[in-house]
Amino acid sequence: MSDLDLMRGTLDVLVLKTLTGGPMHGYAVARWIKSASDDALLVEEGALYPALHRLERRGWIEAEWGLSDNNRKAKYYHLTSRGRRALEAEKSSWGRYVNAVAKVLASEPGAA
Amino acid sequence: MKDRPTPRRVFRIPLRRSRVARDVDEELRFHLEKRREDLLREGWSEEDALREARRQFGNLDRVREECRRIGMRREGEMRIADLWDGFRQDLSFALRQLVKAPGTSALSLLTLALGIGAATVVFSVVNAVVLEAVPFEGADELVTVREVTPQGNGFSVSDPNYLDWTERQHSFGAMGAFTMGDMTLTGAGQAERLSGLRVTHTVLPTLEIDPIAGRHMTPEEDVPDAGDRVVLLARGYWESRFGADESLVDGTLTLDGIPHLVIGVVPTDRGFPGVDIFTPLRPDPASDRGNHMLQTVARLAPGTTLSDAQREMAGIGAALAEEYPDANAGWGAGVYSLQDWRVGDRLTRIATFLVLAVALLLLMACGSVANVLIARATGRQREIGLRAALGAGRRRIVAQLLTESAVLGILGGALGVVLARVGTPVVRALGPRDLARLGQATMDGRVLAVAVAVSVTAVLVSGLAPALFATRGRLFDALREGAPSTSGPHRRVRDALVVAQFALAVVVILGAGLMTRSFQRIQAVDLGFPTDGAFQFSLGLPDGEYSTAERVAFLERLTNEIQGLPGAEAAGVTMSGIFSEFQASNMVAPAEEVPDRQEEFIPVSWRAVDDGFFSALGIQLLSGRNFDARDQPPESQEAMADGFEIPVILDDHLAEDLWGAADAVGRSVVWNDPSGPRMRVVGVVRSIRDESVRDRPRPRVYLPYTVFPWPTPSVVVRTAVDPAGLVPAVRSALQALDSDVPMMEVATLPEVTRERVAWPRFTMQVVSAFGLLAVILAAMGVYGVASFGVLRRRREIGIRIALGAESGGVVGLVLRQAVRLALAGIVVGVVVALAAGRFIGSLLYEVAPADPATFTVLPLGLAVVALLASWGPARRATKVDPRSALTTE
Repeated sequence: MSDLDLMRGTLDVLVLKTLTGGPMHGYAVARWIKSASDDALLVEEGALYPALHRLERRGWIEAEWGLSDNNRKAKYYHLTSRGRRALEAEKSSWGRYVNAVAKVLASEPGAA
Repeated sequence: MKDRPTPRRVFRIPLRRSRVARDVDEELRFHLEKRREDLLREGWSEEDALREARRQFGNLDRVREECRRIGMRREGEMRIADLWDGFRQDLSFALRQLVKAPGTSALSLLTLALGIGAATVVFSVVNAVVLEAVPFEGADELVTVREVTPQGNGFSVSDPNYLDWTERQHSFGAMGAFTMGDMTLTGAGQAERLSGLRVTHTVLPTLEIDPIAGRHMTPEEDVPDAGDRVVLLARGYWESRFGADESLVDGTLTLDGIPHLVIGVVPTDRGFPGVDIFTPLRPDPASDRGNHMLQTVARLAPGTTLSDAQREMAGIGAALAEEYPDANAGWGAGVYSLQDWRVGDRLTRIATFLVLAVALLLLMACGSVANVLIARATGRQREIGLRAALGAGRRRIVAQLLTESAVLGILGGALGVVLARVGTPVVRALGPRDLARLGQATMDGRVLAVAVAVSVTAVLVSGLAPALFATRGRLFDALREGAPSTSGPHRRVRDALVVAQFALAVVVILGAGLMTRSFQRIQAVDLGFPTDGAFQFSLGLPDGEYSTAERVAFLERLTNEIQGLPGAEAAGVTMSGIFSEFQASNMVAPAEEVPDRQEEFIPVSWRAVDDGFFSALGIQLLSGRNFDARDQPPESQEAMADGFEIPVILDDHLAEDLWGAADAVGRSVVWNDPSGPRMRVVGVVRSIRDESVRDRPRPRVYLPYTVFPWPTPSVVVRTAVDPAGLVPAVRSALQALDSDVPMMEVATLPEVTRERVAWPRFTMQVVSAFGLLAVILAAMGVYGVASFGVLRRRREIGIRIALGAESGGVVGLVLRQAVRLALAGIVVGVVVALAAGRFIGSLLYEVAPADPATFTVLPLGLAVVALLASWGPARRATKVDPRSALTTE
């Protein structure tokens, strides 16, 4: 898994997780991820949008134009039921992955 | 939580490309704007806020590009998924609709299937008989070179002329000659007569027919006095007679009593159907230049056109006429496309006629199905309006309706192909024998392609009109108005369809009527001899085994034996069978004033016959005497030069052409050319039609068989009993005389006459079947419109009945409307048929293309059919209950 793929997979899970809170436009998603991860995971905000569009294409989220505060048109995303199921699956595989990595990091090389 | 579908998904509206790009731009602009505002709120300066927002965003251009790309792909996928979903829905809906109205569905299916099936069968026939008549590689380069008579007709070629042509010409890459060469096979079970051709070694290579076993003939094998006799077997014969025995190649077969070396097997079943063997033809430069026996094939050299070749051969022909004035004066050489020569003009016209007739029929079938579909679409207007109201676009609805007719069309087409598969063998069995060529070409790719093209056309024509009309105009109106809608366009289209159907039906039945009348006339033709109670057969008495005197003696014994059989009345010998393909030609002139030039001679047909022929066939002797024992060949060439006159009998046509009303008996004619042999007329008989039923017979000369003892004669037997019953006895009589002489081509005269008019009969039968179908389709059309009319005017009829209208008046109301449409169509059809008359005229025999009886009876008959077809709906109209008619709707 390359750096980028790792980032992508991570970002997808984060976006899905973020949208469990209800419909949100892209900027709100970016802001939420930034604050939740202390700016660590989203270095460039722009990277968020391809992720959103990919998820939409996959049918995990849907988009709809709506009005934001002070009456500006904004594109709101929400989770579909397929997206919700995908998030559950991703969460558990993500957990297994993190555990595995943690295990490796905790063990002493050459001992086995 | 259940998904709340967004409106865009419900209405399935994919976005355009420009819209996708704009959405991405707008979304990103919103993001940057929001970030800038937040930065401003954090205390950034106006100027730095924008720059910082962009910095945090990263590479704007790249993100924009990627988002656009993903968006495009998403919309594309959505569109395809929509189409597929829609198609699946349409398909299952269409099938449900078809099942829901089984009656009309079955009727439409059957109509289409009959139309498509008939079209496929007809095309199979035309394909086999006309299009594939020259089934060789590069068929358009193939020609036949023939001599041209002083009267300008193509004619067989003499050996010396053929040899001179091949030497002088430069137009042809390859050229070959062939002639009939039937032979008798002995020494392998029962003696068997084989249908054979004698060919120069170049014939099969010219046609690019290569041996599948063994080899071609060599140039050395077709020169006169070549050593060993060789034979090539046709594959069909090799397989059926010898079980494709490979060891036969290089073996020998005894043909006409002479051992022949089998050098190979050639696949000729399509090019030369029915031919069993090929033996070398050895054109003899020393033979008589005036003896025309050969047919030719040639392939144009690369870059040479037909007219180039015609020009060159005309020059060669003229040069030969000058060099050999005795035989060639007035004669020329002509080049004809092999296709035209083999198919002939009349067959091409028959084929065209049949194709046109079936095209009209198919058109009617499409119209009929369209009519049913329009009726159904009319009944479903409310449903369509509802779908439109729920957001279905016009394109979507049209697609739905087209799917329905496509399903009909595909099912109908498949059924039609099945019908064609069943029908083609039936037609082959019942049709003219030429159709045997159909053997291999039943359903090849081209025929199938036409069938498919026809079904697709039928589907589109039948489906498009109802689909467009159903969705025309204000779809929502259908919801408001009461059903069934009576709006104008449907009715007008259906009316127009009925008019068109009657017009087409009239054209088809008039064609059928004319063909039938013409065939009746052909049947009624007086051939000049009674066919009932007579049969004929041919036999081979080959040169190698029978001297001319022995041959004559053999036949005399045979005819005597036959006449002694119980039930036999007379037997006679002739050079070729009645209505056989072998039709001999020559020229004569009156001896008292012989023209200097052959051009002025009278072209005649001739037959060598024995003294029993006239009574066996039943030809009336008008004056003079029959042949008898006095009529013997000249003793020697000297006797011939010494003023010997061959006794001949003329028919009355020739006698009149030569000498008018004066008695011909005792006068003399000159045969073939000014210096040709002289002949004395001993008798005059009535003219007969033994070459063609429908053509006026050519003037005829009968020569004594004793003088021209042709090696493959026919015997005509007249019987007092059923002719077929006498055949076994005749066969044993023949076997008793020589068991190696097979009895061939046994057929009663009614059979051969029938075969001779097979094409006119076939055309008549096929077109009559089409006519019947056309009438049924037209009747269905007018029935549909009349029923619909009653439904549409139910309220009006109810009012009339309530006001006391008699049932007769109500019937009249319905009938008038239906019959008016039918009459309009009939008038149009009659006009079209009259205009098309010139085309059909050449196919008719003694019937005018505007035959008054046909043109009166059939249109009137069709009008009566229209009346009868609308009678049911009209009666139903009188049963309308005024109360319910006025309260519903």
